Amino acid sequence: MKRLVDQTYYELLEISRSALPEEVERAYERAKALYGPGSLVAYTLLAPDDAELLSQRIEEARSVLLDEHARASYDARIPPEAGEARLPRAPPAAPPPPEPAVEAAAQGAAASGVAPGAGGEPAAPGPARLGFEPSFAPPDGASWTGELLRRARENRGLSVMQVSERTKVTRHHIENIEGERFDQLPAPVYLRGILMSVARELRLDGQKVARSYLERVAQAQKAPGKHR
Amino acid sequence: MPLIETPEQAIRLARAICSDVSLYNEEKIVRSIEQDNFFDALREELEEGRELYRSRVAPALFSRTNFYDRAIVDVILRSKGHVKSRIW
Repeated sequence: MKRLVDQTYYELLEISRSALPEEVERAYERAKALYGPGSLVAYTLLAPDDAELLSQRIEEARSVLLDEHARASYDARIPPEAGEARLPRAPPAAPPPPEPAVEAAAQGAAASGVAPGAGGEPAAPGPARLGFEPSFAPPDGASWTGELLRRARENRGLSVMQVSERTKVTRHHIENIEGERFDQLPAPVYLRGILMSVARELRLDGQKVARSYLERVAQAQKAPGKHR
Repeated sequence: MPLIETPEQAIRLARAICSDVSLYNEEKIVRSIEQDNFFDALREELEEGRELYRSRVAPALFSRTNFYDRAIVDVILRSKGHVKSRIW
């Protein structure tokens, strides 16, 4: 089953791609009641950030799917459903203007620290992927640097503050890890645990990340005057 | 930072370090106790903790005591007595 952030608006609202506007409206009300703020499902199954993102996506889904032009543009960008040809839809009377709802959602995501695209639409046809990459790996043989960890975090659509809140690791430690300010990092015995917590949150292999990064720290400390 | 010279302070430091090791590696510790490979699985973490302890304690006190090893048993292992394992 796809994660909620990976689902198309149709999957999110559990409707077919040929759903009529009144069906979209009904599905929106149902989804809002099911996953909206204060609902038991959202409280028990979703982390607060995920619940907020889902709620935002439900609103986006309604805005886009009830707007004929925006919906046509959206349909053209998402891959056809498995085993199903793209559904015919009457073209809009005029060339589709920019989608205010989608743009507004992207701006909102950027303002909230969520990377553009997290919860948005794919930029080009391809595998169904509406959010971040499911995993992030360094180039073959490369060690985990602060820069790679930052990219992995951004790839997950998380801000430093969000990672800090989820892992209980202070923001300064995360910033210093990403900035490779080795002299300001805690002792390795603590740093290892911190790296593993952060890596877990970024869905990376904690052991590999910690070992690789700690090797870099050790090398930097052997090189006098480089980082200390 | 001055080195620790008294046994009381050294014991406190050793226990604090082991407490943090336990906190950061909860799952790994439980799994390693279940599989009876605690010292192998936690080798790096325990050695890093020992290194921190060594760096903070006066060499003479460090060499004639085993506070850190005792803390491993007292703080990390004893608190996991509820974990089912053949090592108990």
